[in-house]
Amino acid sequence: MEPNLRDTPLRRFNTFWWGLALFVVFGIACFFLRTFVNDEMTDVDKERGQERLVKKDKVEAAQAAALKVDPTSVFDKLQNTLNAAPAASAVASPEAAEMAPAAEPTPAPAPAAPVEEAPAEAPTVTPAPAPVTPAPAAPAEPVAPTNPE
Amino acid sequence: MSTETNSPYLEDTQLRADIDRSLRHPVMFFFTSGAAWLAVSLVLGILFSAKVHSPGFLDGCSFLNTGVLYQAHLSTMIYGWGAQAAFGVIIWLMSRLSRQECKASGLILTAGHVWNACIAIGTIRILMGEGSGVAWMYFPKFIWPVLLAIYFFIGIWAVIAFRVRRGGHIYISQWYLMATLFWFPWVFISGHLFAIGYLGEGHEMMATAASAWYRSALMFLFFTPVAIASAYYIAPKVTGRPVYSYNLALFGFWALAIVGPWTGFQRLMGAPIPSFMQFLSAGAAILMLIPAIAVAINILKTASAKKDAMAHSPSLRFTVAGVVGLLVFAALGALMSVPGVMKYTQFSTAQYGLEITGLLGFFSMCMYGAIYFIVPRITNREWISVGLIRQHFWLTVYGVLFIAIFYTLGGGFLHGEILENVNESQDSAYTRLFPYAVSLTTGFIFILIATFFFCCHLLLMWLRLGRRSSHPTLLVRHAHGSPHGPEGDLDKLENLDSNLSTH
Repeated sequence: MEPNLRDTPLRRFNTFWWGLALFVVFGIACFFLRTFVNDEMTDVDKERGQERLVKKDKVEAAQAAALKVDPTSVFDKLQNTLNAAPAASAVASPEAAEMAPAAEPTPAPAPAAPVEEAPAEAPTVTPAPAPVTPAPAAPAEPVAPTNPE
Repeated sequence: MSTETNSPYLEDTQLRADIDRSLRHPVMFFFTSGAAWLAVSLVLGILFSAKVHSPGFLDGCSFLNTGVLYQAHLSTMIYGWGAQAAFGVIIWLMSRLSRQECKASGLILTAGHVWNACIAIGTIRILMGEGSGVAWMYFPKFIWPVLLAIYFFIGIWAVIAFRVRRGGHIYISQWYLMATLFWFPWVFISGHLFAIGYLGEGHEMMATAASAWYRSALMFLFFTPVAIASAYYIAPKVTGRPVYSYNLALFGFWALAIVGPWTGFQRLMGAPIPSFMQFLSAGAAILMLIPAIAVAINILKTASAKKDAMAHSPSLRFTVAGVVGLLVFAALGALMSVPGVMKYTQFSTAQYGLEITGLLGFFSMCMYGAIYFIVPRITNREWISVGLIRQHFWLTVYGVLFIAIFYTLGGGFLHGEILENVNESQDSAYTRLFPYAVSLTTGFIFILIATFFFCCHLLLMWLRLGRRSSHPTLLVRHAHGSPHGPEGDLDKLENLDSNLSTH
């Protein structure tokens, strides 16, 4: 059989390393392609998330502004008021008259409404503190309907 | 061995024997472990399909739920059986056609063991629920770079063999093998990088599109060329005739190379990816009929030149069945890429049925033909049982036909029609689809039994317990004697074997 002139150690060596180089070059090309594509990425979830976070901060600020007092102190005060003068609750006074309907359990749809109405109510509440003295009484009204939440 | 005459024929025979001996261990390892993984895949497939029509089956085992079974079944079929069968055929065929002994058998065998270890680890992780969930890339992320590195250490020796080949002529099979040796890493890297690498980083649509492309590209640019290369070797070799048309072979090769990479995106018809990609892929999937028909004409015309060879030779019978499977696969793929038909098949069981038809009906049949040809040559033994080969063939054909006709066509279109009909109740849909779901289980059972026979036969050959004969095992029924006449001189065979083993 005639000798095979193509079969030389150099040709085998070259073929091996050229093959490996092709692999590596392709891998490097893919790496650069991936890096290039990644730069322009915008994540819709993250963008929407930013808007939701801003809205959440606004709502929390409005609620914090509406709740000027510590809720636990209000409960203690109410408890003391009820214990000290139970008959006083029958006296017609603006506070008692306004408190009485608030003491009733609110109907079921009411809890859903405050979720959407809270921002709407907030503008009505936030101006209320401007006339400073009556303000602590007025916020008590929206607080009671929201308590069932 | 001292040769009394130095005729070129004897030298070539000696060279071929040396090549076969050098490749015995890695090739037999790939074929045997591949067949074992095929059996595992079919068992997982049966469990998966059983749970589809009988959801209460094995519902106490969390690692056997439908999702992980499906992923494990496809992964073992593609990477356990398909890839290993392809590797065995590639390295043997390239060495034989280039007339080069393999000088790195040990390295290839080691790489094969590592490949199997990766498949095993990946499959266990899938069953534990840690699969990636990306179609045809279900293994965890850390597996695929290892698989890629192993592929390099298997495939590079075939490239080297081609580069230092003896003689100037390049055979048709070598075109397909060289092409697939370079296509596979490109497809593998691109698919995994853009599908797995980008998943979870805000590019889910890109990952989906890359996954859809990868499935078609792996099928048309890896499995298909290897199967066609095997067919172009087996048909002329067994019949002793040249290929019917060299120009048609050239045309078929370039048609596959040009059209094949464009398919895949038609699976995402209607998805938020550019419209041109979807329709371009649909067109390319229909155009895949062209290379399929070109190859089929060439192989079938070559094989029909000697009709008794097709009836008697197991290799040629399986190869011809595989080529017919290629035609069926291409036709089904073209049909299911027509937008009007896709309405019924895009989200139905037809897609999975098509993949199974391609993998088992086309690729696996061609691989069986190659294995039945190659194993006797590398083990120096003949297949023991004609009955086992016959059972393997017919049970596989029955199973594939069950899946292609009942599950893919019947069940797929019915499923699509049910999905389109929003007024149909769940109960009615379940009742109507039930028999078609059972047909998948039935088809898998047939193929599993066939695979069991095949695995047993292969194991016996690996242990060199095959028949010692100078005549090949043929699918003939003779009351007495062999169609070739008396057995050859086994003493001469012994001497040849012992002389070869001294080198």
